[in-house]
Amino acid sequence: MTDLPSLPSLPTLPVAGQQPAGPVLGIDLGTTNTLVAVWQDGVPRVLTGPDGEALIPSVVSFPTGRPPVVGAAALERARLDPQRTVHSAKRLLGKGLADLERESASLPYQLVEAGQRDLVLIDLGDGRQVSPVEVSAQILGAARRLAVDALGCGPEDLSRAVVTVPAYFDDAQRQATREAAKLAGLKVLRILNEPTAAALAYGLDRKGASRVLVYDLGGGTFDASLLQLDDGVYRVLATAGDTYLGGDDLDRELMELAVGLLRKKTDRDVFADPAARTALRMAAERCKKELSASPEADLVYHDPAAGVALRERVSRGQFEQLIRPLVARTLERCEQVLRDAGVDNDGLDQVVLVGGSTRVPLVREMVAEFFGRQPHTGLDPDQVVALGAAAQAGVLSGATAGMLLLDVTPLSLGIETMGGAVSKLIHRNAPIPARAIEGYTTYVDGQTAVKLHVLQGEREMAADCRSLGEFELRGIPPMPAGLPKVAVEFTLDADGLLRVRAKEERSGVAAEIEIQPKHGLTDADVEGMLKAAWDHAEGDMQRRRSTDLHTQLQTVRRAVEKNLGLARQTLDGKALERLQEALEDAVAAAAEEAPDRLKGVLDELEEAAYPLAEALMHQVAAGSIADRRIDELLGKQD
Amino acid sequence: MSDPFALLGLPRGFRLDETELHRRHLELSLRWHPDRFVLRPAAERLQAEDEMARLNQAYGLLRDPARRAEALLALRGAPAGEGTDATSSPEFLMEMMELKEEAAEAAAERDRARLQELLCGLNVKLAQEVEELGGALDELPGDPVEAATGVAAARARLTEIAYLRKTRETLERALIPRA
Repeated sequence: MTDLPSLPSLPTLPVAGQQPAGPVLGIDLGTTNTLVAVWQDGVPRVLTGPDGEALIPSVVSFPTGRPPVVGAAALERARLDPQRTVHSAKRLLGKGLADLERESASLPYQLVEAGQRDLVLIDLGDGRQVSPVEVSAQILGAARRLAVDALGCGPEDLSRAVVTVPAYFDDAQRQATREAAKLAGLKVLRILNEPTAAALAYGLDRKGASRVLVYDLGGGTFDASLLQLDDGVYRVLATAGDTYLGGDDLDRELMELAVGLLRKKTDRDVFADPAARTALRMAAERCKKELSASPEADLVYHDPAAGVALRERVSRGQFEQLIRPLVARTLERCEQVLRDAGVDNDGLDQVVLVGGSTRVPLVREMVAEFFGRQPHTGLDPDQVVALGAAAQAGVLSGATAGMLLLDVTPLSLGIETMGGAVSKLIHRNAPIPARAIEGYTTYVDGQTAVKLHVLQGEREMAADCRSLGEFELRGIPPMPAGLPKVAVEFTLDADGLLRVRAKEERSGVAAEIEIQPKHGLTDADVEGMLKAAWDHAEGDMQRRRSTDLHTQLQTVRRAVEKNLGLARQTLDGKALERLQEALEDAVAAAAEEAPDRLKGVLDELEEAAYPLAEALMHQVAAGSIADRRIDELLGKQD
Repeated sequence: MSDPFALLGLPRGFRLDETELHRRHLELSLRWHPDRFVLRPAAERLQAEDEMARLNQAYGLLRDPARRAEALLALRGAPAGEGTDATSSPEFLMEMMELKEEAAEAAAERDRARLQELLCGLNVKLAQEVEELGGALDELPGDPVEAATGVAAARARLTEIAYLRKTRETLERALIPRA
């Protein structure tokens, strides 16, 4: 792949009059911090506030009776007003309460279930509730204000943005991010995957061809993406991740250590008090950061009001023992990426570390050991995603013609078929924009509507995948089962957002949906689903196969039963007996699960029914039923 | 379905030059990716997005041997689901049962070397199956009646390949060290 064609340079057209004058913003909306960057004079530049600081803490405080406070000022209010100060809202985007069980115990603010869309809300304790989307919108608004001040343009000139998300974000999480931007008055030109953005920034001043694995461990999420870089063309070969594994989880290990120690000192449940939870979380985070620089650090917590104090010396070794399983999980994802891309370790040119949590020495050590090489740590792990977002913003505003990004979708997409199996239309790691069409048909005679249940995930059965939405295709003219031709088309745009269309081709009846966020999945779920997909691969396949066979068997059975009268008239004694026996066996096989045995029963029934089918065809040919409707012939649906 | 081989400008056949496939896809991506059309009118941009999606679809079909085989069968007017799936030989099923038992044993004993060995064997077997599938498909006679046996053989190989792949995933999973 060294002799790649050079990018054809397209003629440039003038910018249309109604386009905003300002640049497109590149925004890294992080779990812990948010940054904004722009493409300027051929390079990406991270913008800073009046204090010279680029990081906006992704924290929003909602004081009662006053407007919300964002960033560093909100962080200061965290201990003062813990219930109304929201951090890590990114981990709540597109999630339901049930998905956040473990998380909610250590959060200082209260989560409640929203009515309509099964999405979680934050209860501020003063009669107000806010959604994670609104919290994220506040942060994006702050990023936009920072850019307005830094660039000196009007806010209306800075209304377009590229916003990054973890590559492993599912459809609901991407939709939620897009909604947040909309609330902040930003038009999203692209939802960009974070590791891809990092690779863009990494590749900017590098020529030639190379294969790079981006290891991105952030505040709340982990992604691994493998890219092929060729002189400005960035092609993602595979991606995998965990949207619930990041710095927050490393902190939580230390929090739980502290809680264990405090239990020995006091009967009070320290986790019950929101202010204590905030203080503990901050103590844990401070301790973690210190341990990256020194072999020992103090985990300090005191609550004078309750008369509780803790000062525990934690060694790096102790911390590493706690977090080792979490880091090991990231390496499993790396292994999967290599496998999916069909690339072995030797085929990699570079492993690039991104995200604040890659500052933890154990992470660097284990990554180095896994890949058998020192990873590249030359990029500023905090800034690189924003820089990449700005580079893509440059591409999308027509300012960087020599660059092109070809990304993939992280999770497979499909629909549920009869019996609860999943038929995958778009496979994981398929390049986007993607499109797929599959043909389906009806299950019963005279069926006038079909249910289309859209799913995301790797498992074989619908119940084990994430449901993205359901819709119906109605108004199909009554036809015998199997005759309608329903074409289902999936289109996945360059942002990784899905649209589904269905059309019955004989009648032209059509329906479509744009997938809207419905309910959340915990990350343990996403990970668990993937893990389970492997663990149960064989069982799944069997279940799926027996489900398919049962469906086929029932279809044939019903057809035969309806035409038994004709069979009695036309078949000879032996053939009739064989058919009746096969039919009895088919009825008896209703509880059978072994595919081999089911297949045997089905084959026998099909064979035994063959003379009957012949007789039916003869009748049709002889015209004796020419003026009768075909559904009458096959019998009305019961 | 339109012909994925024609879309990517490649000769129709199971055996294809993978380097050429990637090269063609990349070349066409450079031409059609919607990001190359950001300053063009909306209609052109939409057309590009549609074209790119079609190219990606064709690329996805051709990149994977099993899906490539399905595409070839569909182009011959023998799409999946028709004639149900052909049954595998008893030898194949026996072999798989033995492999499964050995793998379960090795996994229980945490014998990584043995698992690795089984995985290698499985990959060889898989490569053979793909090779046989290629033979069955590329030498099919044009006449549909004469081709029926060949089509059935190809379907049987496809079922076996799907099975082998699932087994491989299970084996690979067993090989990942647990924290």
